[in-house]
This record gives sequence, C-alpha cells and structure tokens, in this order.
Amino acid sequence: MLRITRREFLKYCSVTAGALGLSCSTLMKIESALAKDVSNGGIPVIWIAGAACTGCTMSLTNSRFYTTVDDLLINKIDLRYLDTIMSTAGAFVNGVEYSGANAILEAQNIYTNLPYVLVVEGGIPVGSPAGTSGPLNGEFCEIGELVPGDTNATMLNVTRKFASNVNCAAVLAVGTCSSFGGIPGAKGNVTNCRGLLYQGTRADKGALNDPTLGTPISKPVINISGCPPHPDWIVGTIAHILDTLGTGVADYLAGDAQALVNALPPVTSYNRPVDYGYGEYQCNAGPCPWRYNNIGNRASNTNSLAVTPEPDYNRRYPVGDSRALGRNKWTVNDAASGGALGCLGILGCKGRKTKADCSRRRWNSDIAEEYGVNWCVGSRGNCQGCTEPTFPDKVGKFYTFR
Amino acid sequence: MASVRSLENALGIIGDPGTHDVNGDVPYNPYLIPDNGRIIQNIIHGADTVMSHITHLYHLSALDYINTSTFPGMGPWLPSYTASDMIDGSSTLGSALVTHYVEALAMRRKMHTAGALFSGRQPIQNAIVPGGVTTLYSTTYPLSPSSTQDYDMYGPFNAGDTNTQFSALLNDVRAWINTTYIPDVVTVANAFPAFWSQGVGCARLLAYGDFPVDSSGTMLLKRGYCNTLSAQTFDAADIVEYVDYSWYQYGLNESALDPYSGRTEPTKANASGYSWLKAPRLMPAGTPLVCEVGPLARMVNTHLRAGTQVTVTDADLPAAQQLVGAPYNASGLIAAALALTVPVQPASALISALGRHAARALEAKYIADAMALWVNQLVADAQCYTYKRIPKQISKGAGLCEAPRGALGHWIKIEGRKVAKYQCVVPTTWNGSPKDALAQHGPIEQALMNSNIGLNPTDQIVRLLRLIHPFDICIACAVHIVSPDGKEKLKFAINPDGRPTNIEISE
Amino acid sequence: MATITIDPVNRIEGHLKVVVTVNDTTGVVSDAECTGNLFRGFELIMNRRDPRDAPVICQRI
Repeated sequence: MLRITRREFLKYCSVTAGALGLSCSTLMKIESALAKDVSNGGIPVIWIAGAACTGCTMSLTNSRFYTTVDDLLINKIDLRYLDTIMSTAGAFVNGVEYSGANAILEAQNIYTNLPYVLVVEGGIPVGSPAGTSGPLNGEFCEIGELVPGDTNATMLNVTRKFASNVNCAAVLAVGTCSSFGGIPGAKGNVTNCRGLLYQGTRADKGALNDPTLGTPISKPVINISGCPPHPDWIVGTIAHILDTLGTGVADYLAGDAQALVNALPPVTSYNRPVDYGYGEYQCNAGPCPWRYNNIGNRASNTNSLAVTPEPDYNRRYPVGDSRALGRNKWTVNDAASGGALGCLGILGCKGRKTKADCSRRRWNSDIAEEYGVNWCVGSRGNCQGCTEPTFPDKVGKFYTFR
Repeated sequence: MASVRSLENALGIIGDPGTHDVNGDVPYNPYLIPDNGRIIQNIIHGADTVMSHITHLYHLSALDYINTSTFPGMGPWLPSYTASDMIDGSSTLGSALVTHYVEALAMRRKMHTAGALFSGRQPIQNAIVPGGVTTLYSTTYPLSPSSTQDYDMYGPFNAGDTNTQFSALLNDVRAWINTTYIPDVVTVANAFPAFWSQGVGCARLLAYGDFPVDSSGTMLLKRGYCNTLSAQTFDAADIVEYVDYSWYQYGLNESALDPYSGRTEPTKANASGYSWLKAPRLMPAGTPLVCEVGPLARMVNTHLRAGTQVTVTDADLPAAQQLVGAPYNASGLIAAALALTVPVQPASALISALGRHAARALEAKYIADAMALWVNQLVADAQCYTYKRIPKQISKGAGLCEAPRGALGHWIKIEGRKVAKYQCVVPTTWNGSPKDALAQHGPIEQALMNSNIGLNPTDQIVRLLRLIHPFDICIACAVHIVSPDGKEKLKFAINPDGRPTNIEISE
Repeated sequence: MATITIDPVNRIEGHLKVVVTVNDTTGVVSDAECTGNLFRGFELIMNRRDPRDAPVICQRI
C-alpha cells in the first residue's frame, strides 16, 4: 500500500490546509529545528513521575515521525533526570547520601544550579493515608529525596518545589494524569490524585494551584494530555520550543527564563497545544473514514460535525451501516457483506467529544516523516476520549451496549 | 488481557477452572473465542511482550554492566557508576553494546508498530475486547487509491497488507533477536559469570500460562509451578495474601486473606508494615509458599512439563542466523542457549540473576517465532469476535494470564450489570512482596539475601542493582486496594452449566 | 554491619526502595526489605462502573 511521503503530504496540505487542524508551515519549522544539533547546549530537562503507569515514557520512546527518541535525547535536549532510564539510582550508605554517582544528588544539583524545564508524568496524589498526620500530605507516593536538604520525598512535595523553584522556566505535563488527574484521579479513589493545574475540568484544583495545598504556584504549564499521548505531540511541542528559541537557547541557559516562556507553543482548551494534537476534534482531524455515517446526531454535539457538509471525495472505505454495526457489534469481519463498517459512535466511540488528531497522523509510524500505520478506530475499536479532562469518569461508559 | 479474560469468564465465553493438567495445559470449558480472535489477541499480546523484553535488557538493565562516564554531556547516561568490573563504554565491547542499545530502541519500536497493525496503537490499545478483537481482517477494504483527491487515503490496511507489513517488521526483529539480543545476553553472562550463582531467591517459580494455540487450552507457555526443577501442580484457589508487613490492616484474627470476609484498609498505622505491596503466597497445603513469577518461571515450567511442548518452526530465516534449528521447543531452546555459555551452564543455573536475563531473551525468541506461525494461521474475512450480553444475574469471572513481567490475575464480580468487586494480583506483588506472617521474605528480598555484594559501596550498589533489575519490576501494577469496608474479595467463576468454580483471590 | 539503601531504584517502572543489611567483612547480605512506594487505589476506581470499561481502565494500572 502506498504510504504517504512528505512531498505528498505537503501537496495534500496545500489544497486543504485551512480545513485541517495541522499547520504545514509549522511542520516545516519543526523539521528545520530538529535538523539542528544542540548538544552541549541543550536545555536541561528533569522528568519526574508520580502515580503513573509509565505509558507516556513508553509512548515517547516510539517517536519516529519528527525524529527518534535517541536523537531527541542525544542531540536535542539534555534529559538529566528520569529514573526510568538513567544510569544511576538514588543511594544511601548507612543513612548518608552516597557521595559517588548518585541520581538524587544529580537532581539536587540541577535544582540548585541549572535552569531547567520540568516534565511531570502521572498524577499527583495529595491525600493522606490512614495512620499518617496532616490533612493533605501526599504520602501515597514517594519518589526520592530530590530536593536539596528536604527529606519529604512525596511526589506532591517534590513537584511543587521543583515547579516553584526559580530555576524552573516552565512545566510540561505529559499525559492525562499530570494534566487532569486521569485514571488514578478517577472517582472512588482515596488518594485524591490531581493534575498540575486541573482536577478533571476544575481549574483551581491542581497540585500547583489549589490554595488548600499551599501558596498557588504560577508557572507556565503546557498540558500534553493523552493516555498515553502520541509521541509526536510531545516531540512536536519540544521541537516548537527549540525552533522558536533558536539561538535564544543560549540566552535561556544564561538565565533568561522569559525567553523560554515566550517560545512555548500556542494553546487551546485546557492549556493543550493547538498544533500538536489538540486543535481539532477526532472525527474531523483525519477525517475519520467513517465520518458522516453516525446516527443520533444530537444537537448537543459540541463540534462542527453536524454542520459540515459531506465533501466530494472518493471513499476507500464505504460509509457503512451504523444500524447494522450496532446490532452486530464486531461479529462481522467480512466487510463485503455489510454491517462491519460505519461510525462507531453507535458502540460508544468518543471521537465527537475528543480533541485529538490520531485520525490524521495515526500511531506507531516506523518511517521518518511518514504517518503511523493505524489508530484506535482504524482497528475498529472505540476512541476512548483519552486526551480529555473528562477521562475516564465523565466521558461516560466506553461501550454503549451491554 | 487479564481484565478481558476475567470478563470473558464472567460472560461465559471462556471457562477457566484455575487448574491445569500434567502437561501444563488449561482445561478450558468452554472456549468460544473464534480462531481469528484468539490468534489476534495472542499476536497483540505477544508483540507487546517481545517489545517489553527487548526494552528490559537494553534500556533497563544494560547500564548495570557498562560504565558510561566517557559519554560527553549525555543526559540520562551521566553520571555513571564506575565500579571496577564494569565494561568500559568506550572499549570495543562496550561500544558494541552501546550500539546495540540504540538499535534496540528501533527494534522495540518495530514490535509496537507490528502489534499496532492489529491493535490500532501501542502502548494501550482498544482492539482486544471480551470475545475476541475489534480488528477488521478483511480482503475487501480498503479500495485502491484512485486519484489525488482520495478521501481517507491513508486508512488502515486490509488483511493481505496487514500480514505483509507485520511479517516484514516481525522478521526484522526475529533476525535481530537471533544475531544480537541473545548473543548479547551470552556476552554479558560470560563477562560476569559470578552472577550465575547470585540472586537465586526462593527457587519456586509460578506461571499461570498463556497464549492458547488452539481452542482446547494447549498453551505456548505452560501453567504450573516448580520447586527448583521439580514440577508441581497448583489451583488458583491456593492463592492468598498476607498484610502483616504491609501498610494495610485486616480484621481481627485474619492473616492469610482468604478473600471472603474481613476488613481491609490502607493504613500506615501498621507498625511492622514497610510496603504498599501485599504478600501473595501459594498455599496448596496449609503452609504459605513464596513464589517468583516472570519469564524465568514460564520458560522453566514450560521446559519441565512432561507432555507435548508447543513446537515452533522457523522456515523464514536462513538457518545460519538462528540460535537453534527449527523445529524447536522450549527445552531445546534453553539447552542450545546454555551450551553457548562459558563454562556451559546446567538448567539449574537459570535460577539466578543471569538466568532471569537469559530466560527473558529466550522467551522473546520463542514468542516472536511463534507469532510468525500464528499470523499465517489467520483466515481473512473470518470472524474475529463473539458477542455475549452482560447478564442480569450476578456473575463472576477470573482471568489468568501472563503479563510480560509475570503471572497476572484479574477477578471481577458483576451485579446489576455493574462492577461490584474487582481484584487483581499482579506480577510485581509476587516478586517484590514483603514478609508474610511467618516472616518469610519475598522473592526479591530472598534474591538479595545471602548474595555477596562485595565491600566497597560503589560495588555494593551496582551489584544490588544487578540482582534487583532482572525481576523487571513494575510497581504501578503491584499495588492496589481492597475495599476498605471489607466486602468480600473472593470471586469464583460460574461455568455455563451453573456450577461455581472456587477461585480465591488475594490482592 | 552496614546498611545500603537504594531509593529510588532506577530503571524500573514505578517507585521502589530497597534496604539491605550487609556484613562488612564478608560482603554477604543478611537482610533485605523491598518497599513499594506508590499506592494507587485501583479497586475503588472500578467499583460501580460498567464491566466493559474494566479492560480500558485496567490497561493503565
């Protein structure tokens, strides 16, 4: 099958750029940014994880479209702390910090001496376990004594200290958990998990800005949500920062934090980058091959799906028969006999409520500058709305049949 | 997979009695998932497992053996340990291993791409559902692109293209496993032979088994447990959990949670507690047994099972590249790999730090080669899913499977078409468990105890990491809660003939 | 006897602390404690949800 090449994509872009959520000129800029090496002048990054599953890190390591993760880490950024992959662990000998190569000394050193960007993965639990003191001590999750002179190793304390530190220019929340609380923040849990700025859709309940947790910390936060997020959304955001900074990286490293803040990408709802994933609803981004065959087009749809007229295209996938799909679920695999194709909204697909561009760039590309091989709906599973602050609770039942 | 299997059990699609026969196969009754669905579930699960194993050796373990302090200005690889026995990262051997580390990033990515051809995306996919998969595996669509203005020009593949793309990626990885992954494990083992006798641990290996290769419960990876190399039989009803040294509280007079009754809540007020992990144990006869899970447990249990082992053939690759000629089974694979070590190691040496790395690499090959066969067993346009409605009456189900890191079980109870209870016992809870009521340490603790880590702190830290990392730890999965109001945690499956099968859970 | 603490253990998934007691003449470990340092409260999340949601949520656990 023909894979899209960069040239074809740009040609396609120039015809329909206005209708798409992606800006081709932005992509061109990114490619030039990633052509630059910034080794030995790279922006230090500290990456910490709280109540996480490590899916965001694993997704990042699949990066291919813009560049690979090894190129990112070797040539583009200076990832100084990420316990999932770094050489050293934190260590103590007879209760005293081990003075040789020691991950927690590294974190403490950067905290004190270097300008850095903080990346946060996973939710921040703020609740207090039974049998501990204090109302919101966050002791459900301890990640190490990363703050100099501070033995409070909770994710809550470390996150707040590293974010409020004068050396921190900005914070990237990678994943729905650190953006909005996500799965560990779901209803019923006792850990009281928060995102950095949000708890679900509530904007004053984040680990950084909830006044009941302490003085609100006002640092710029970019939410790269998704469960997990597409690696392109993470790498694209980073590339945008580097490209916009350009030679300003040197200014930033010399102490001009505002230079980096000015380089952050423009954001849309809930602080998510417009151009790297979140500018368009899932049904429209691709668009989804089975768009325009959904039944039950309710007026309460909050996107433009109901009003955009059917474009005059040759479909490679028939529109399908949603009613048959609703009856058959996935029992029909012979597409020719009907009932296997159609809009999955009838089975609970959340594309209409979800800001994500998976239907366009798809997932798991193995070829540079080529889009991915498939996406959740491409394999006929439902879009679960995993980029949204309403995930998982208020997105509703994921499957609307019994 | 475990969650999906627990639902399949609750819905009557699969009946797993929690036991196994002498061959380590599972007497499923019934097994209603259509062949295509079973195979694609196996492919998606297998691709993720192989990806995880590659990641584990190179990106999670290799740096225990390589001194990277000569890498200029390189992010997470500085600072580096400088223990005296480490391979110098700038030496010929070290550079080769570092090159393979970078290659491995691409290889694990390819495995996720291969899996995503069926599953939509990796990591975290929505194609595996109770009853099979949602995946369309059809010859009919998509239609060929007809013009420059094609709508959805770039949609997913059809059956033939999916197979072609998958096989190409898989064969790249299979060749690399043969030429690089397994040889690198042998290289590291030969450079650090002391670790064939360090990190032995409890020497009791537990596997629930997985990858059914037919509808009769013949498993690629067998179910069972063993004491060193002596095969034993267990029943899932033997699983219990202790919280004596965990930050939880049971009710009065409760110890081994036979999860029916009792109050359980997370609390740091338990003065002897030192972990959020509970202590799962196997209790077939009144005495709690500490058990290790993971690729070592699976490969050794498969090796020991008397009956027919699943044979994989490897016709696609030139024989010269292969570790062992096809056809082969798990036992032959293990023997061939150990024969490459210096000195040649017996199978009993597998129960060690190096044995865990070796078993993981061999399992990656075993599963990857099996996938090459499975993808050609798919029938285009044949059914991949079967539907069962969620019943009105109370139903319960258990899903036993093998996650990349070890034996995983999920148990679900459904009342009024809603989840009334959900429990999991996950691999790292077994491996990372604290002490139980008899003060028996968990597998990782036992692996560290009685090991010689030297006298110099740098050596000690590095050697501890070399003993800990082979267990491939995943804490996020390992910790969970039972209902704080003490509702029952026991689930049992109801077979379609109405008889309950007792499966005890612990959490 | 010396005590070596590794916290956080690196190159794993999640948060683990290991404390060992080691004999400082022989180098042999005499005691070890593994501490899982993250609690996520999963079963409560699952309660009262639609059963088909279980695999969606459980994959992230």
